Amino acid sequence: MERPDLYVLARFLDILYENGQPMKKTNLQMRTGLNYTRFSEYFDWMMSHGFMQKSDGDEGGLYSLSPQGIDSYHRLVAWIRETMKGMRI
Amino acid sequence: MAAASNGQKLDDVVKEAERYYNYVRTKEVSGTRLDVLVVSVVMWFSAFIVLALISLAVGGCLSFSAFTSCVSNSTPGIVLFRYLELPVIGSFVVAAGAGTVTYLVRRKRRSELGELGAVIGRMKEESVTSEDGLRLVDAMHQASLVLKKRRFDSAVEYGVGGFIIAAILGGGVASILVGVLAYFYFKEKALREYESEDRRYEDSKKELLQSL
Repeated sequence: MERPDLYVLARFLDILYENGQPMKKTNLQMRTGLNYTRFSEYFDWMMSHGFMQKSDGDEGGLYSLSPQGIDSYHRLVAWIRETMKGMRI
Repeated sequence: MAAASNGQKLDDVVKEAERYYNYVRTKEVSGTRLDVLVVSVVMWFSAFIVLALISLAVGGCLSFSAFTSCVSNSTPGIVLFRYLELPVIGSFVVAAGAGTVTYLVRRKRRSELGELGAVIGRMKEESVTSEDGLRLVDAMHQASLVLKKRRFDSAVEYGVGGFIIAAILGGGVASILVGVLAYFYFKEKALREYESEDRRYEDSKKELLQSL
């Protein structure tokens, strides 16, 4: 994937951050609302760039934000705040 | 609720965005009223001059000597009224038309602000995620561009103002050149600011994506 959509990345980060606990891949797909193909692209991208980490669960792999992913989430939120500050009256 | 690294929530950005939206909307409305007024007045005077000249020409009273002979058997005031009555009425019609067109064009542009209002409305009812925050920032950026577009209209006003001032100072035909130069200068300035603002924002988003 050449250039991911920032909105979709934000959605992944939101869901994983808010959930707190590791999630199953199917649950993550349902929460993102993406079709399987698009979800797989973004899922693979997030894994390959180190935003997510896998842990072993009773019923298979569970996924959560890695420390890098958490840091990226915070940077995203900080960017939103800073950009809005620049647009203030 | 999405949380920032310092523990604060993103809900406060919705209030900021709403304040910004109200400010932009108020500025756009007052700017529209001013533009409609300026365009109407300028068009009234322009139309009056043109229609008056046409009326006098049709009546064969266009030149000073011809006008003198037109009024030789009557009161100049009555003659003028006869020739200028229709141009005055016509000027009001032209001014009203121009003002209406200006208002409709500006109102269409104001609808671009609607997206920001809709995003804010949605976010006030639901919890705020960072994806929502991104949409909000994008919508605010579009709203700020709407304000920047207003400066293109201001370029026309500067051009007309330059023409009028030059004409009053006795510029003659050169007044037209002054007006045209003023228009192009301010339009170019507004365009550079508009593009610079848009480019700065898009570059900032690209940097964010690369830094994640």
